[in-house]
Amino acid sequence: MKNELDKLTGPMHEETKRVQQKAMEQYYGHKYGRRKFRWGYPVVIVLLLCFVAMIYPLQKPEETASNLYIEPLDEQYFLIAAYTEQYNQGQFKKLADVIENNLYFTIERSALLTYAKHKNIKIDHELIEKNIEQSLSYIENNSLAKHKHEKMLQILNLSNDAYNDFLIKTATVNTIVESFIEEQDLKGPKGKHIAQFHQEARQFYYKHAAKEIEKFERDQRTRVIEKTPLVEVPTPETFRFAEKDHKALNLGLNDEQQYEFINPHITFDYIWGTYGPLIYEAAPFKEYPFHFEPLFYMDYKRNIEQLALQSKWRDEALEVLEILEIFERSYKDDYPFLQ
Amino acid sequence: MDFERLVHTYTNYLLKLSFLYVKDRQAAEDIVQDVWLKVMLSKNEITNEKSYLVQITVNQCKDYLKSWRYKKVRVIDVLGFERGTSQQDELIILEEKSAVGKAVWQLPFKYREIIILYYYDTQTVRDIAFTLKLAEGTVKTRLIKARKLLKEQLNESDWEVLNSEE
Repeated sequence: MKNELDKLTGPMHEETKRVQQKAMEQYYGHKYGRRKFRWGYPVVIVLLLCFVAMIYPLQKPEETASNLYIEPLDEQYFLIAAYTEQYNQGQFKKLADVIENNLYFTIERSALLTYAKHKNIKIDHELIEKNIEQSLSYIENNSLAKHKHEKMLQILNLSNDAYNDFLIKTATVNTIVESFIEEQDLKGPKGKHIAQFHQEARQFYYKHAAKEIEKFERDQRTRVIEKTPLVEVPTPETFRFAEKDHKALNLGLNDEQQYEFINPHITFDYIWGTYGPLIYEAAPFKEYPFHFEPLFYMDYKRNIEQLALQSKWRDEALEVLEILEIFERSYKDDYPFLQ
Repeated sequence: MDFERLVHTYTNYLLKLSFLYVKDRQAAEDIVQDVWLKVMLSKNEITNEKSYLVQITVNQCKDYLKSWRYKKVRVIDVLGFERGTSQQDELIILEEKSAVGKAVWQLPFKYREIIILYYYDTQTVRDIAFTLKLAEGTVKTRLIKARKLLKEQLNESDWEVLNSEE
């Protein structure tokens, strides 16, 4: 296995050389740089102070709370990010988890835009447009990508324009970070500077938009329907799938005394493990047989229903359909198409 | 700590480990550079250098996978219109690399991670639990599950070769 993974990475000699060289440059800079410029620092500081004192009167007035630009938190961006994450991944996700994850990124997006404006960082619109054009032309020329794209827009009831706008907004943030690195002419590992830029931006934004953030988080979290935690109950022997080793599928009873899975996210792991050949047979795209993703859920289900009509697959298909019925109930508050 | 020796001994290994984690060569380079920066600035005494470096690398990889930079790649990736390095890497796997490697890369992250640390970094279940801050039982369960998923994705001969390594 180690050899197989080695084949996957290739030798990576070039990358190794580059990283070693940069690491050693940094190391020597760190080790000897300080001594070399030790006596230069006080002089530089004094000169800088003089310079600041000279140009201070010429500067525009300092930003105050009243004229500081604060990028609003974009609800539409948040919703598209959350729902596309929920539908595009290879597994089902609870709305609560998706909301938390995308609250983080939506706040960070506004933070970066606010901080970039504060720091006068330019946005390269041409580059953004070029990226989006390339992406869209790829979708047009790739049948699977086009199919997934259209299916997603249809399920989420999104227009092409709305989704393009979302892509532009995402690309904009990335461009800002790149421009920041470029404009500041920063040396050393990019990752360190990016992390620092993010941290400064978040701190700045939280300082100036704390109330807006709190309200936004509160409003978005109300989308999640609070449910009483499930208490585990034994699996009734009358269930078809109870004949298999089904211990992973812990069942609980909801407020309406219906069965739901306590850990529904592992349902597909269980199904793959127990009914792999059936799932492969039912896969709408044989290239991605184990991407049991929400976009294709109904296609899988329809194919499994068809397989249940064939004697070869009947028993297993009926067991899977029984599991899927409970699975759908477990996610009905998270995915409207399951209601 | 002999920084120069560490850099020359482990850079290639950490690059490969990062690449297996993040599937992006450029990102792997950035990650390992950050690892060396952390090591350089660290004042900690290192007792087990390899385990220490692997742990920092794994944490850096996870930070990257949570970052905007990765999120942007994913937005593009999930629709299947990946570009640049990621796309090239994927193409290399699909066209040239082994079926086993391809199957590992198609595993969900939590299983892929365990396979990488167990087989590539040859860590024990206990070490993996320590590195990932998980219970040993969880690591064992994920390892079993990961192998099961691999078995389903591989044909019989590939699986037999893999299984005979046990």
